[in-house]
Amino acid sequence: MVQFGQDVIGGLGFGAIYALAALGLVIIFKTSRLVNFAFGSMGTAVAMILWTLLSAVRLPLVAAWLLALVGAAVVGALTDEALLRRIEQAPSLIQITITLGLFIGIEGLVGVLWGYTPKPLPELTSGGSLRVGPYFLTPDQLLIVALTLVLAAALHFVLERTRLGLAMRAIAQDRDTAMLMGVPTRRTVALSWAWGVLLSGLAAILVAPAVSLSPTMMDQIAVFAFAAAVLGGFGSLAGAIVGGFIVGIVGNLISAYLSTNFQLTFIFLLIVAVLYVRPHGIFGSAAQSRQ
Amino acid sequence: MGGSSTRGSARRTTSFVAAVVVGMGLLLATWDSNGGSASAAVTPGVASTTITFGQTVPKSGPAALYGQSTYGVDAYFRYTNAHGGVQGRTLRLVSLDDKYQPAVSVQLTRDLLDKYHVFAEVAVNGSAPTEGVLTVLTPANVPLIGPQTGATPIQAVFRKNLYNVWPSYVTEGKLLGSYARETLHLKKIGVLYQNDDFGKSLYDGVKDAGVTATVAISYDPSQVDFGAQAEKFKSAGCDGVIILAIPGPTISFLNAMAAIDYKPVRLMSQVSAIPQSFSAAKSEFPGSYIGAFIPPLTETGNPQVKLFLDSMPKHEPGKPASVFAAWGWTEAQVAVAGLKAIKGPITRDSYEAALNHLTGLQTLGGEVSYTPTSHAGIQKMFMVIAKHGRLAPVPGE
Repeated sequence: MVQFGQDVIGGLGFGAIYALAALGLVIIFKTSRLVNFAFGSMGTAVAMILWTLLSAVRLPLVAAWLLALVGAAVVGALTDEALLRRIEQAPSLIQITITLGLFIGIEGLVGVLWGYTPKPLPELTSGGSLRVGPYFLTPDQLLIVALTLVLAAALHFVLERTRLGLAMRAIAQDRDTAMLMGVPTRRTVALSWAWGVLLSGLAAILVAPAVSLSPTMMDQIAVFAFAAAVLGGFGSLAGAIVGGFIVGIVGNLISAYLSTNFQLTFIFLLIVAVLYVRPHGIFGSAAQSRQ
Repeated sequence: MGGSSTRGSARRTTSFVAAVVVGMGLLLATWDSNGGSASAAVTPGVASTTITFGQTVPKSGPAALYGQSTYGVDAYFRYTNAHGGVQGRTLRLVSLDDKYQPAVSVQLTRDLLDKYHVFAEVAVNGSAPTEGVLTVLTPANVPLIGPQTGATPIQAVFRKNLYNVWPSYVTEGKLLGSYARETLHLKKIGVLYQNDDFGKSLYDGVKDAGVTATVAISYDPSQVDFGAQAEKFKSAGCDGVIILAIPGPTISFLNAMAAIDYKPVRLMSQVSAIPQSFSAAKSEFPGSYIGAFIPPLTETGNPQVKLFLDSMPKHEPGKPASVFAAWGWTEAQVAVAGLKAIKGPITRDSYEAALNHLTGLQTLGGEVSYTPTSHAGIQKMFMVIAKHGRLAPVPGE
């Protein structure tokens, strides 16, 4: 029973990472109706920039973090402005191919610029594991879960209670009508890209201390985050969070009680099963699926 | 008449031009790409001034770190060239990036033979890529010196053209297993191994050493979350864990053990023990025991180590004198020793004949000997310990 509990706790930590990355996917999808397959490699690039700011520029941790995340947001907005805006009317296949191309291109570029030697990123917190009864958890795990939940709540607030959120929801519902109603669609989509890449970068820099920083670090995490977004219902913020935690915990339990080699297989079987019962995902709606 | 004469002259001119074109074509067809005129009897890759070797290694992708071995091969080739080369020829290396994808390795190996006309291959990296490479090299009888693998499917089958340099993974696994059982007297041993020929061959060696794992868990190389595995070993009460993994997963697993405050005795393969682990897994990598055949590169009293460390900045300036470069250096030492032992013309057959009689060759990684029926690699391995930011000999060993 202790092992089961510990596996669930372990799954929560990685689940929060999947959730954060899935949030980044969903927020871009909501406004641009585009699945950004490059989100993993973009996140890795942000983490590499952070590593440079810390190890070469020697900025203090907080300043480096802030600068890296601001950089992520700028890169996200510029990606939309310079590249994806030009293909917004293109068929889905072209858009998917472009983001897949970005994924491969950015990963290769990161490899060329920073090399493939694993690099350490410092943990956000210091000190060893905390003991709660028979269970252990690290301060970083706690922080990651808390940060994910706070960010999800903040995003929910922005979407539901602010003019920006209203604009995003309007664009998600009907972009052309939103534009006719005076919603600044271009700026709003660029902002969602900024948020999306920032969240991917945040996921990458939070997980890097545990797995070491390398150009391919986010490859498997991106797959699980995508699974989380699908499971939760693509387009739903709550779905991304719940999907992320489900994938994290179930994945860890499969590793512990079946085999690591079945982890991905069973996660996707779970998705098939959920989509069979709820074709739009756990929190998804038919409208989101049509988008 | 005049018209007929003009037509006849034009025909002659046309015939002359055609003959010149055909002649030039034939000449070009028999011209060796390395700059010397060739005939059917001339060995590919051996020109009047150069001998060309080829290799496929990952320079990008998850295993790109191993691509640093190219620096060692290049450095030893340049060191050899600076000392007169071989039979008056300089050595050159064509190194291609296979991204650790066997299908790519196979295609690039064909390119190395057909496009770059290499004489032989050296220091090809990885178990699965090497298996692919051999499907091209063996039928063509192209020598392969020092594939960077000790996997059983490669080392246990004798191939006329394959000369191993690395100790077999079974040998390494045996060393780790016997050290855990007989020297460290561990009672409950857990084993984490990669689910491919690399991990399975090492695990076979651990079992050969008489270790019955309390828990044995395989993993996929792309895995990043090792929390469940760490917890499983901890719950089973393992006082030691043998890690048979590549660097990235090793770091993730060490950090996962630290997260649950689990600190068993750690033993691991030389493949995974990279210096970066000191900072990337700072609480669990120090104190780990590692099987090795390359001596600690801090042992400057060792003449082989000294030569390597002195030569790297001279012949590969700016490139790291890492353990991966040391792999390449060692394999290049064997490749060059075989060339130097050739009496007479350099052909693939004469090269293999010379290699077949290399005896007691001292390399950076240890002693290498071949016979016409045995192309096994280095036999001797030893344990080192990760301590004070470097790999050091185990005290008392």
